[in-house]
Amino acid sequence: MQQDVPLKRQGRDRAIDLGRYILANRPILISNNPTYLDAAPKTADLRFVDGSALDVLVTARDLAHQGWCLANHPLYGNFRPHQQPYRSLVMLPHQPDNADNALSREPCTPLGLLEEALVLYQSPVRKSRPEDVPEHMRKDCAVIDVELMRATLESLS
Amino acid sequence: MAYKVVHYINQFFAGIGGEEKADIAPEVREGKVGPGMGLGQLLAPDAEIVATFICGDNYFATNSDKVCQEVIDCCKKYKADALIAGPAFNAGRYGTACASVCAAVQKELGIPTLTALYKENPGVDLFRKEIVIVETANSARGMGKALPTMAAVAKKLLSGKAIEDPAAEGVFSKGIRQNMFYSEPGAERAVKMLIKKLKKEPFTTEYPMPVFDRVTPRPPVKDMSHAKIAIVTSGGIVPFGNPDHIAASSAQNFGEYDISGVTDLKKGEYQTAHGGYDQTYANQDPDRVLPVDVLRDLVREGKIGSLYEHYYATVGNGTAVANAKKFGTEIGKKLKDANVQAVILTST
Amino acid sequence: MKLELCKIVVDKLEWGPRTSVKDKVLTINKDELVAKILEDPGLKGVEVELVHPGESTRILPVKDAVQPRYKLEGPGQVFPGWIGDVETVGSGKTLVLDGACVLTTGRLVAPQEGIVDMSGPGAEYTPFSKTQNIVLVFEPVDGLELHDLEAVYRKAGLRAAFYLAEACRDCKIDNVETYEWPPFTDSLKAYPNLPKIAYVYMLQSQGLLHDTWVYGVDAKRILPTLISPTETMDGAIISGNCVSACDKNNTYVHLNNPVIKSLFEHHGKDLNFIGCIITNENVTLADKKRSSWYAINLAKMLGADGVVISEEGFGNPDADLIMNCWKAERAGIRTVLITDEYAGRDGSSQSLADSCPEGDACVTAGNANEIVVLPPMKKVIGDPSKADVIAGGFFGSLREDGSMEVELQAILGSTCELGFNLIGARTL
Repeated sequence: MQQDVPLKRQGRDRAIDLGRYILANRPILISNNPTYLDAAPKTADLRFVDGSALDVLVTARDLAHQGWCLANHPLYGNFRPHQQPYRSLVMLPHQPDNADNALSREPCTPLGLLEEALVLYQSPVRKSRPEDVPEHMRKDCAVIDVELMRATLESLS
Repeated sequence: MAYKVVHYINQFFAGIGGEEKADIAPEVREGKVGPGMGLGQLLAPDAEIVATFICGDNYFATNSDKVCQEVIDCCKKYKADALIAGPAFNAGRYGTACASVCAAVQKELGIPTLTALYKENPGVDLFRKEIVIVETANSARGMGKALPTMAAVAKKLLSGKAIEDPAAEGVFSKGIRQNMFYSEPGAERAVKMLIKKLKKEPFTTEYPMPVFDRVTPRPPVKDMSHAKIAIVTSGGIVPFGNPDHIAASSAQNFGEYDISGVTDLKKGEYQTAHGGYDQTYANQDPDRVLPVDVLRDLVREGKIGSLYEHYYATVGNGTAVANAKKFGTEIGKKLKDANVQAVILTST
Repeated sequence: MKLELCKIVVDKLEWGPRTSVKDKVLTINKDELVAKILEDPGLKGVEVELVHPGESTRILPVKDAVQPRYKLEGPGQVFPGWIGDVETVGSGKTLVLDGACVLTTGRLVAPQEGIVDMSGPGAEYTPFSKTQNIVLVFEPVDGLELHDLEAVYRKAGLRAAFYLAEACRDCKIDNVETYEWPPFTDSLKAYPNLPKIAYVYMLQSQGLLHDTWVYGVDAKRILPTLISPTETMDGAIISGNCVSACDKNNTYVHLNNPVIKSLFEHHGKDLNFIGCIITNENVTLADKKRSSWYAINLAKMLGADGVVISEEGFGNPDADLIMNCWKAERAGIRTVLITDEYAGRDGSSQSLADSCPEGDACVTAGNANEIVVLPPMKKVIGDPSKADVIAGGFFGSLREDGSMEVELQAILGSTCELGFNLIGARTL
């Protein structure tokens, strides 16, 4: 992660600085969807997780403990864990006033949402890793995952 | 021909003795004993208690598998059509024993079983999904109400019927959702429910919202190398001899023990009091459950600042939630007063 | 606004030279219907089957179910934005072929189900075992991109349904249902002693295969807004939602919304039905917060005493449902929720991904994880390869005797959260 950029300019320079500040602390896309390896998102830095959806959720949860915020709901898509092995989460950079909010386990705070999702993914009905899904379905699952994340990624720019 | 019932009770209700007799080994008597007298009258003429299985609560806590098998064998021997255990009201060890034997017999023999417990008895949460548990008052003063409900439910189960409305029939709900067809579509049911709600008339929700006991996590420790860390366990590690008599199950207390200067928990100096796991390995080396030795290493290596000189222990085996909350609050206060930054909780 | 639904009862389908209805028999000219469907160059071909309740027939994977409707009189045309122009609908007279249903099938992506069994135990769970079904099995051209493919299927279903109703526009009407939706100046003053109830109508809007369209606009792009319930009867809201089969709202149930039906039935008797607010279920958290505040604010502006809130989907949308609930309750608006449950096969898991203590009045459409055993059927229409159905164990498993163990999740419309069905659940 890059260094913070100090924010002390006047007038219209502030707008450029804010942009640079956000660039320096860009949103991250945490995902185990290999489609993003060939087509990286423009509005977020990809942190690829070579593992299961559960691994993605755990990575996001660890960041939530450090104050990162979630941009999308972890349980997007009308699929259950064993029906969709790919999971993608956009985390937004740490803001000082995120900290208290982020750590609360109330639903709809990042940690609350992630912990609820983890409950589901830790005991799936059937195995839910990408390699457990038949090959010809894996590609479809990856495509749907990208599609459902499209609106969130676009909203970041 | 009346159904044959085996009745499980403890040393107290058998009239053998109180806490001092809690270690007695199982004994089977023909016919009814203690509360079985009243229960037997209520079960007649449909069913009769043919044998009573008596076991000390402590003995059960440390020999649960063995005793469950003996109860199964007893039911086989007497060709039991059902097993009834208790009522145990709020007695934690007794209640857990009752529920355990019911679950074991039901699973192994497929015959109906039931027990009767107070809602805070740990046996309820542990076994409500598996077996039928009648709800009772919190003490034997509720015997007069408990026995008739137990008899009624037993007769129903013996005739092959299932519990359909737990609340109405006086049993704990299993907390299991089952689909059913109503006479009206959901939309109509919803509109009618809202009308009642607005009129402040009573209504029954089709799905009671779960209540979550949420704990807000603290911010991460910023500098572990200077932090004071404490260790607390529900794994039951206590000084040899268990000076505070922490019970093997359904613990009523926790202990506070000084480990200043202690770098390693040795066999013979410390032991486990926990009745819910095989004690051999924990007794051989208590560090396995309470890793004082590793924590001392980490202090020496500079990875953590210091290890707090007291540790706290209880036995997390069928612990009543109310007690767990109480212990946690008290221990938490002591740790806070001692400026401990973080605590490691070990269990089994 | 005043809308008359002019219903012609259909209880049988057959092929014939002229598409028309007489004595409850819908005769269909197959060539005309096929030609209408194939107007879209994205389709290489289409098979059409006529299926009746009671037959030993299984249809899968169903994409959408559409009831044939046609606007006889009044502004606009049904399915505005797709068939009709975008002019506001919901008034005048609309023809309904009551008992007929177009079911669209065809492979999009896996995993996807949408099983309709016309007889046997599975038939109990889907509303579409009781309708006379015109089943379309699509064959798309090669190389179509997924978005385009989904749109091709969706539009073809609407076209087919429209064609059937339009062709029957001169046929004899069996009964007329009249719905009135007065301006707020009148409705908010009417029935001063009755509680004012609004309907918060949640629409699935997460993305491809999870979309809903309002006058041709993608619901994920809207701010919550008001709509007249009569507009929904003319197909202002159509489904682009293919997942999950059990709780996605097919176009058919949008047209025949049972919450709207019940609210109209009770209107003037024990409630004053004052508003219908549509809102969405986006993936982005900021959108969810915005939409829930906005939708409940609309309810407040109307002066609603209570709202019925219906959900579509599970997991992510549970968050919207719960937000809508507590925001309404804390604003002094009483709520009743309609949802379904994912309580696990043994019914012991947490049914919803979210919860709030304010949600004390909740109707459920059943546990979607319950297992049903579906016996083999003589005929299977749609994607004949059972491979997708059972592969990966997504929705169940195939037994040696050819029967299938599936979760209700795979059966079309089985846990519809508009409360369309009689099913519910209880705690044992």
